[in-house]
Amino acid sequence: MQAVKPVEILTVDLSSREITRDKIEDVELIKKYIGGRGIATYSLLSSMDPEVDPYSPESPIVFAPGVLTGTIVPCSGRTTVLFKSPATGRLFKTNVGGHFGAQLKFAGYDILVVKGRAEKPVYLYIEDDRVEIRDASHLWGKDVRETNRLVRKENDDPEVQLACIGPAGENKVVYASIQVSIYNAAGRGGGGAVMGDKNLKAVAAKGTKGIRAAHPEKFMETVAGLWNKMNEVSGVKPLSDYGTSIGIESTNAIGAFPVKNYQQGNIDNVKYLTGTYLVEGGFLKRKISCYSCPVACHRFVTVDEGKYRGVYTGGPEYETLSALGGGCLSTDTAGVIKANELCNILGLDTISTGNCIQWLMECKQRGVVSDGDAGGLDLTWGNSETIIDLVGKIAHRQGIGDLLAKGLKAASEELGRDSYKWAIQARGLEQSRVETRSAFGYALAFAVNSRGPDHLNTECLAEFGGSPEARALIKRITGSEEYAYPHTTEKRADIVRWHEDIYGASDALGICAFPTTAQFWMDEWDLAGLFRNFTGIEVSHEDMMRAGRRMIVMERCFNAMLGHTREDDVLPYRLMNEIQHDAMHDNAINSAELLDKMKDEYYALHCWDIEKGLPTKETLCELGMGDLIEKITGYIELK
Amino acid sequence: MSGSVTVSIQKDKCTGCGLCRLACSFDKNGVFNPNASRIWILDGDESGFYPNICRNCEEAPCLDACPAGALVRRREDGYILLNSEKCVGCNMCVMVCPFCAIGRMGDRNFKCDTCNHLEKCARICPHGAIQFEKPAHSRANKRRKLAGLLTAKTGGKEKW
Ligand code: SF4
Ligand code: SF4
Repeated sequence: MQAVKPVEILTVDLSSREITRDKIEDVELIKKYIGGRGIATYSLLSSMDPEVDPYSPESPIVFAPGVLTGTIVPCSGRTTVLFKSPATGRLFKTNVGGHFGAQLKFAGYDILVVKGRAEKPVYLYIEDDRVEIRDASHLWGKDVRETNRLVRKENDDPEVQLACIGPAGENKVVYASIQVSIYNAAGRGGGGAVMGDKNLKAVAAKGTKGIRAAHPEKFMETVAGLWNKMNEVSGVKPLSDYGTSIGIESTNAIGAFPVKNYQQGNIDNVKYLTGTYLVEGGFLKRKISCYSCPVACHRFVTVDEGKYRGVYTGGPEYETLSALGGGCLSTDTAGVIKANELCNILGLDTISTGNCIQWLMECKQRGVVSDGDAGGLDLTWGNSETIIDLVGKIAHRQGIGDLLAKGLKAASEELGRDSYKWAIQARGLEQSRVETRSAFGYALAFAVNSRGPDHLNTECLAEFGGSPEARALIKRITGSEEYAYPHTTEKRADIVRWHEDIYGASDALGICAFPTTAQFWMDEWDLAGLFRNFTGIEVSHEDMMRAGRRMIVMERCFNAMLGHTREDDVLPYRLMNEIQHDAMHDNAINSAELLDKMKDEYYALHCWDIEKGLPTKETLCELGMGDLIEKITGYIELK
Repeated sequence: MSGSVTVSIQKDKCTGCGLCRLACSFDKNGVFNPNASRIWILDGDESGFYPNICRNCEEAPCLDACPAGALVRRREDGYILLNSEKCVGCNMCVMVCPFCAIGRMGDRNFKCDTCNHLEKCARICPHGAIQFEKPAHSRANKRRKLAGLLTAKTGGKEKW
């Protein structure tokens, strides 16, 4: 058998305080699942009882940097975080940038599994072979910035990198984030609440071991080729100059910017919510990179005058400017930055936080909730101070914040009275800030996403055909540039599946989704080349894409074991039942019929059981995953 | 030494990506390991990053401090080189270097040698935060920028 660098797995049990180290050396397995997200998902699916409560010691949380994380490959600094979500009750993959994953790799670990529950607050300290479960009583209650500062100080090392939670995670807000510094978050799905439940304040990592490529020269050649490609494409510079909010003005212009809780498609004075304004208004102080990233799409911003003077934070990104700005009918730049700062330091997902606040404001608009119910807060649309106040109340579960902290699904069930109709969530996850009624590829992607309706498993930006590279990609997938048009159901299944595949492959390698699915300067051939030259394992571009597909299939199987079927592949009520205002095209709705048509095509393309929307035994065998059938059929029947 | 180049750091351009450190460690040790790098990114949190590297001082304290003759100034370009073979690991140079620009792995120290004028860190830096230039050139550049700022109609807003 070919000798390869094994996948090193570190498992820490917080209940028994046992620390174990395992290796995966099976080349065939590595080829099938690549590493990072792939291998982590495989090990959860094959070893975990899917039915365990997300808040139980048996429910693990897994940190899996990519195969290439810690190397010089551009944009390779990303880490997958996997857990069973308290928000959705399903397997949840999140992915986070920053420098944490690289340090874990330098310490010698590819995958970190944390299970059990500590008796009192602890943090995990990892420095090479030294792995310690340390007291964190003094950190409990501290915000993210302070926690970072204190841990670095007590270890006398400014290079220690943390994945930590803030008060929101401690209070088990179901959309509490795991923060990697103030710039990056494994934001969605409530990983922060899972850490909080484990009494795990932080994982601190620092490594001094080096990483070697199997074929260093060829590896560096592949890397050099990527730099050239990066410098040629049109989308990198704008992203670097203006950050992820670069697209807000144009989205607003086509009426597809979800404003006022998806009641409007655009907002006046959108200028104040753009990346350009962050620069021109003097908020942007510095661009920030994830590890090994030449693009630097993250921002460091400060507010230097007015009532929010003194605020400083990472962000705001597209999603945040939409969720805590436009979505709440606010264009108060400094106000959004303040709300963003609070989310970052209290440890909250900005998307879910924003959606919950919008829902509450609409509850007032529709006479379901009064200002009095909200403890006297003025719930009028666009009130910055209320938005900021609510962020704090959610994190600390004070007053009405306690209701919102349960997430939109539970909150709207509890409040009743038709409020589910404007709760922009499905399967327990608040939809990310995409107007899917104006983008049918996104609609399908969001409906079938194992996480819930959001963009981070399958961002199919290319369907808009916004750049020559995007149109070329659509042509490559569908055979014609004509399909670079988001208001049709045609070929959406093909487009979505391609994106799922490449997302999986990128995540497994630790590569950011922007180069593969937004600026298009890395493709499956590049990913295969990098993997080959780094590990010495022969793979083709098709192998990479099939590995990505296995990840989607595994996630679907995991959730199917919990009862998920095609009936659950839906979108929020409003998007399925109300026509989008300000849309530029007819039929701006994600009706059940529209989704059904695309779902049929999507399941068929995957060779799944169309009736149930689930993989069949044959699909599994064809993908070389026959070994999982026994486990899965212990819970459900497969065709 | 007037013919030699010196390093010029534009700290506000650094985004903290760490690519320069990996380029350095790969060049020197064939490995991706920031701990083996001859350049450091000092993380000042809110106040930003500072790519820190040997300045090749004209009056170099490290040179005077080394008891083993491991540090020498190269005649052609004025660069200070550390010969790890001769280094006895006493850390005198680390103690006296005002920039903390000398690293250590195992029991030997190391420092920047400009990759024999290939300056891998500067070449990879995507944002131009590290530049190697002739001191005269660097001063001229600075003056040119300053002239622009001082003569422009800035409405008193520009800071420099
Ligand atoms: S190592 Fe330090 S003291 Fe020696 S030349 Fe470089 S900066 Fe100056
Ligand atoms: S490569 Fe440039 S931007 Fe990146 S850390 Fe080094 S100096 Fe900073």
